Amino acid sequence: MTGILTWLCVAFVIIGAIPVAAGLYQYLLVPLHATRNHYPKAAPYLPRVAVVVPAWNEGAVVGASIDRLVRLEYPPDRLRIYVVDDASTDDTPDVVLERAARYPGRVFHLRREKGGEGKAHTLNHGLSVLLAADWVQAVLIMDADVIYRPDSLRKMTRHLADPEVGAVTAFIREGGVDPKYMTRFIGYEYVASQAAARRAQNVLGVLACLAGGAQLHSRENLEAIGGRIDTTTLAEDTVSTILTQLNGRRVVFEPYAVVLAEEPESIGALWKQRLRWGRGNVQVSRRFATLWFRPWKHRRLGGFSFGIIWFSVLLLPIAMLLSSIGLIGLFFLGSDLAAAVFREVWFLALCTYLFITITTVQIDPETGRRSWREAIAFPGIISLLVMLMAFAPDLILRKLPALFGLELTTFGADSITLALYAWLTLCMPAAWLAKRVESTAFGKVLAPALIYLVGYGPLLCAITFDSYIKEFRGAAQVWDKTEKLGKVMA
Amino acid sequence: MTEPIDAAEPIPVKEAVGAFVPPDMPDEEKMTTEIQDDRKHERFLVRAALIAAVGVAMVILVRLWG
Repeated sequence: MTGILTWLCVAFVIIGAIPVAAGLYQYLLVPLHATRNHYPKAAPYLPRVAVVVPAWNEGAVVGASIDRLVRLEYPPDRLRIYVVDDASTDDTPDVVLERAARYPGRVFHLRREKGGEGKAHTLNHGLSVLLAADWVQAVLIMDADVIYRPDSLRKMTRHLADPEVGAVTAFIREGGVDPKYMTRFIGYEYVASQAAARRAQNVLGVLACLAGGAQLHSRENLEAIGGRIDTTTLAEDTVSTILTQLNGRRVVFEPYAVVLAEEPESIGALWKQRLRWGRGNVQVSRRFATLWFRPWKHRRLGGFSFGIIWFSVLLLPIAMLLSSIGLIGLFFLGSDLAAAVFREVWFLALCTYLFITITTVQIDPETGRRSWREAIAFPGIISLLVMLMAFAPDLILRKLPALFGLELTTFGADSITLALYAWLTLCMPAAWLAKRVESTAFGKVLAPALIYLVGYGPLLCAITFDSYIKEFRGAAQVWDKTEKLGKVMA
Repeated sequence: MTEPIDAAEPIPVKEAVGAFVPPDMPDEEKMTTEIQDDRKHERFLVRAALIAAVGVAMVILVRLWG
């Protein structure tokens, strides 16, 4: 019986390590993008593009977004901007109408009288108008607050020269003028999850998600996926991405098309935004349940590589929980395997962390310079100490206390060991605590300190875990807009 | 790799308005060259991964040695 339990615990720890290995695997694919990319099939191509800008109370940002859109390096007669005003109650209509008058024939105001149903409904209102006319050859779906670099659109359209490509996405880069600690974390995360991870997905020939603020569809592709955006989930961008690929068209990530976005500055705002994304991903996983790990049905989307990458993100909290259970189980079973397995798993985590961090800061040195502290503290200072412990246990448990003339008792050593094993799970409630603390009197100091200690990665895991709970309970799907101040770098 | 985006003089979006200036469009030849340049530029990823691999290799060596 003990033998079975021991191997069960070992299996738990190994399952828990899969997301770490998957992260390393994904990053090992990144350099292959030097040769396995879509550029050989790209060509100068400037189709007639309709830009759809969903706007709900975006008066602070939408005017400048339009100003920048009309200045894109793109033939003016081939670019039209349609702002779909979702029954805004602020000055959005006035701002858009003023721009429509300033740029006649290029900016259009489409008004929904019933609003608040979410971005997908707003987009569909615009798409129904656009696709009714023959003029449109491609549609760019964006957010009202993002800023496109002048060359970004034509760098996206060049991939549509290949008729096999149905949609193209850009690199959404955090672009706050005065980045707070949270936006610096997000800035680094975006380089890792987009500029790096989406290059890896280009290599695999399958993309997980078109960025909501920068998705360019060919007209043929939009019509093939039904001419509308999915309204049944909170992850309409991901649904469009998967449907495009299920219809046999490719989705390409263009890293040199850069779009700047303003991101949440607080844990609370991030939690709200990511909870929506997390719940959306749970819904998408269920909706396409017959897709995953079936390469014989869908060669790329159903491939094992893509499936492991997808579920490593979605099920990361469960993997962390299993890993803790496995290690603690081995400890109480008195197995010598506990220490050995712990060391190997955390050493793998250390190697992965180093490889990912060093690669990521080189992919976007500007963000690397701005967010180097957040890059180091991404898994949390406590987790870094745990990695150090796995790397040099003797140093932490014996030599360091010996410097102060201390010697750990067996009870002390066991307590530390158990705490380390449990940390993979405990870091999630600790991150939740940081969110709770944020709204207190000491929140401005305590919350950031806690996030650096606990880690931004565990914070995202805690939010993912919350998304399971909300989905399990069937909580109401609310489209909570992330508040924007209109401060993005030019 | 992305280049710095006018980081020296960030402009709040609210203030970023002004008279319309027609965009300066590159010609087809320049756009073709740009695609080739971006394609070549992707080689930096190999260098980045090699540097990261050296970092990891050093840690592994220290562990094996120590």
